[in-house]
Amino acid sequence: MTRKLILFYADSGNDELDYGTLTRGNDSQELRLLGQYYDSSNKPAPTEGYRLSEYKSGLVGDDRRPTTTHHRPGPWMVETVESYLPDLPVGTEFGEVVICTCGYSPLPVAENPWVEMIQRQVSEEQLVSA
Amino acid sequence: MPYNPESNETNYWAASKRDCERMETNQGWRLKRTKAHGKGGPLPIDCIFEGDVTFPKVGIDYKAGDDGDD
Repeated sequence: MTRKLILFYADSGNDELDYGTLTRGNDSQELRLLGQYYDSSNKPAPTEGYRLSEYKSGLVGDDRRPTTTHHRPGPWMVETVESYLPDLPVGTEFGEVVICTCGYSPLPVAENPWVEMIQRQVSEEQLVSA
Repeated sequence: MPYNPESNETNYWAASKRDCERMETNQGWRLKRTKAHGKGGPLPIDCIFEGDVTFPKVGIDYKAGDDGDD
């Protein structure tokens, strides 16, 4: 089983977008990293056109801290995919590193409504199995 | 259910973000992101996996050591 590290980088050409996005480092090192998947699923790596999801948070019920309430396909879309394989895939943490470079191309708002998340209930069975 | 068909994501709670990675590796899943869900408790982290993933029904081997020979 190959474990992949999949990295999504912003490259829209607009610094405001590229450096002010989903993840950021500290003040001395801003990141263009949009997302990072660890993937042991053996699914094929993302291809051109793959969109990162975007999320909206809010308070639900008696919650004091916000939870994710809505999602939709986000504005960042994979444009190029580079794959790196280790020389010797033995004893390495990852068998493949995939770098997805993303452009900023939001879908038209009218065609991309927020979809409400199904609020999960935690059953005892899940707590035990997790 | 932890699976959300609309976002095609499955959520499981864990004790730490590192444990989300362990689930990803051990179960052969794709981990999209992790976050603190803010509800506290012993499993404060929300691990978000791609697709509909479930743990295998391994359960407990109740027969272990019950061969009737003791």
